[in-house]
Amino acid sequence: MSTEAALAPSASAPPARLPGDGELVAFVYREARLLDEHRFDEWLELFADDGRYWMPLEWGQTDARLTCSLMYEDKLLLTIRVERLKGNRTFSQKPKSRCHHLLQAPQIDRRDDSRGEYVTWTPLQYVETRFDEQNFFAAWVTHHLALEDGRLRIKLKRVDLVNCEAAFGNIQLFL
Amino acid sequence: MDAPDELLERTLMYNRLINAPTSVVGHDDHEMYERAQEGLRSDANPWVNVQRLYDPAERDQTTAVTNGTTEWQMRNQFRAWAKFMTLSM
Repeated sequence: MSTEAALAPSASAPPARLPGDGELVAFVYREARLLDEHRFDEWLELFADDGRYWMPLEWGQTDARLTCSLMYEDKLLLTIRVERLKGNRTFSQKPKSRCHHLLQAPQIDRRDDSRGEYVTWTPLQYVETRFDEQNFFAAWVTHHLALEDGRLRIKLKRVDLVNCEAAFGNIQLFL
Repeated sequence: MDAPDELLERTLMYNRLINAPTSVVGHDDHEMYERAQEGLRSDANPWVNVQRLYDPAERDQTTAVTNGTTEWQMRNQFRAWAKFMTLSM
């Protein structure tokens, strides 16, 4: 097979150009930056159509469906959430919340080049503010990424808060 | 007991969207409750205005479907209060 044929896109074959570790890490950093800069529409684009955002309520939770979570949202619900943040009647976002993500270097937990699937793990400290109030959260973020049409997309973003079962005030934005 | 999983699944979704600290509904409700409480705590105006969408014909209606922003139900509550407090007078 010629090099050209080997690199040609094909539905069944794995993508020709595989992401290096640096690209996976850069993806995680970029995701956090889009959130910090309130670029929510671009952020939504990072998710696969069947992608999910999951923030468990229980320590070591394994079930998202029949066990309560803080968030378990498909792309439609995430889109509604983003639209809400822009809405005129979103009274609790007048003025808007701001957030700051402080990430430890993401680690690559799993690399499956044959399927184009990757898992990264990133300790995170997150601050969300509005008016004089500043709330602090610490969490571990697990990104399940997949190559789709040569682009990395989020299949699942799992956010495990250190104090997941605590009584929280409002969490308005995205960890 | 023995209810289908779909019922629990729906309840949990309601809980996440409405009651959770990550709700997309509760935060805006609470914001308005807090603003109302701040207004009541101030001594700028001793009155609470419940005139919104007032219609003189509303007194005669016992049930009605109406605009969600009306204060009709609050007026009814005070009408009932006035009625029962003066019942024996």
